[in-house]
Amino acid sequence: MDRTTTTGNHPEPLEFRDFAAARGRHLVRTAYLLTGGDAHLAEDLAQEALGKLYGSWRRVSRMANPAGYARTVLVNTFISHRRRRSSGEHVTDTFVESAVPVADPALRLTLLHALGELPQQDRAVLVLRYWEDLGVEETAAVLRLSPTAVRSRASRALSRLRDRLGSEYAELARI
Amino acid sequence: MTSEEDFARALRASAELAPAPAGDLLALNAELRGRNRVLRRRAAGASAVALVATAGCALALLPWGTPADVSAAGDTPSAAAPTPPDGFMSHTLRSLLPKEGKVDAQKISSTDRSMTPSASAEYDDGHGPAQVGVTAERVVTPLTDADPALQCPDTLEQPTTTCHVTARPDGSRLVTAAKAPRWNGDTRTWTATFSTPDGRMIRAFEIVTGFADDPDREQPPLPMDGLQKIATSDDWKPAFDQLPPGRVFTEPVTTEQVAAALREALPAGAVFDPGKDTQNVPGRIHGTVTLNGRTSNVVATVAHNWQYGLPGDERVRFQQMGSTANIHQTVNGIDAFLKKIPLAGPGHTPETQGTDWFAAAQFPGRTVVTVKLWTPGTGNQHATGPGALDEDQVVALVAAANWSHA
Repeated sequence: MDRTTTTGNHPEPLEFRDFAAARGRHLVRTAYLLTGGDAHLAEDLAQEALGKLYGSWRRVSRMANPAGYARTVLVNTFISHRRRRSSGEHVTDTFVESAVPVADPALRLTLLHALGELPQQDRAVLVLRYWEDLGVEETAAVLRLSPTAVRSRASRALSRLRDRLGSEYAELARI
Repeated sequence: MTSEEDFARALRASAELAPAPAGDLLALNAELRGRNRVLRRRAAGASAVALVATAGCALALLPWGTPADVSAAGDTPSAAAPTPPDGFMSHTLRSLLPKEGKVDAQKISSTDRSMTPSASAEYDDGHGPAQVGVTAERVVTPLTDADPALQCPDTLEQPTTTCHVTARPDGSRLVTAAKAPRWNGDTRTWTATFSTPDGRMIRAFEIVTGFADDPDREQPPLPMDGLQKIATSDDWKPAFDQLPPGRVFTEPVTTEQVAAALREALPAGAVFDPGKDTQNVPGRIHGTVTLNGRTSNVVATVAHNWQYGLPGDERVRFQQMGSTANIHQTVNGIDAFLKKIPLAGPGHTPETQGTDWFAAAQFPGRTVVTVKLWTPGTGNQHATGPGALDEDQVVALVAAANWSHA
């Protein structure tokens, strides 16, 4: 997983394009999980989030953690977006190119499907906690929730996934 | 799954299925969106800028596309170019606003190092605030009637209350316009666009935002002569120091040629009527198209030397232009895209609001064709129902082979 290193203020401001090119892929992945596997929407959200950063880039580039800020903008963009593709573009069995061997695509798709059925904020909690590896407090700050709400949402969402996936839930652990 | 760590591992494995866009292209597209957002925020409602922002960069697709659109394609001023000091645009704007009014210090912004330097501020004359702002751009020289930036907005596309074009003895042009609200509560916009013979263009604008059943003020805080004073001020000159020279005008195809090509490219049975209005410029035609009893408005443009003289690859710029398109197609080897642009209005949901259809195609030899189609509704609103052409027909129209010979 990509990690964000917090090292204090950058000695020189980052160039927007360098930052966007470097972080874009990770943001697309995060958005892909948030959207329950909607590849097109994921790219759209990542572009939109980066586009929002562009307007205030001089300020953002001097932040201690521009990547963390970009993640927050992405999550907020995801939560506030209105689905523009009414026909829906959901996970299918057609895979995008991936450098990683796809040995168990069905299981991964099953998980993405199940994620997509969760309420948006519950999804965001799971993605931030278990993909972005944020702590409860950090997740709460991004989503403007209380730490207690984050814990309860995470617990409830995992429980729902367990119920939804049944026996496949255990198989996912062996991925 | 037995633990949270297992779930995290499964999540990471699933993330590997995500698309892997090229980082550089993703960055460019994001920058394009960002620049458009900035333009919308700074100049939302200013007629020509709004046209660019909401209609899929129609002006950009013309051969004399403004530098604003060039910047959207990723070109930036050279590092060696002199640059105005930070805050130059907002400082200058503030200095030109009447002192008797009030500027909200928290709502004034400046973009100084850009292909379209701009500033905006919230200004209140004591009778309610308005967004007042400016954008600086270079236009092609010599100034010509063929440049839409020097003309009144096309009233077919943009409801306009008043518009005046003044050619001054020194060769400069001044265009003043007031945009009519499309619906009860829509914004009102006033613009003064001043262009000099050496290709400097300042567009000053005022926007008053209203709400349904809460009428906007009929007149803006700054009267039109006040807006003109801002647009024509010499104080803006330093903003142009960083901008590359304007492009030289190249003769576009005639309106008649565009109309002939449009008729030939329409599906069988469709009838194009340019109407009696003469508000067309070379390279562009507007009118109505009727098929199977349905009639829609249409605007078509064709440019054989699309954005000639600009740095970078025009094919990449075209792809960026279509990055937010709903449909991408290759028709007989011609790349085309179609954007569905929703127009919000009172009482409309995303499912019921009016829609503009904007399509573009790129042919070999720098020829780019655009077609915009919409169906007028009540008043100035756009209808929600199907238009004269469906999506496939619009894409086929814009990518028809005969455009190459227009």
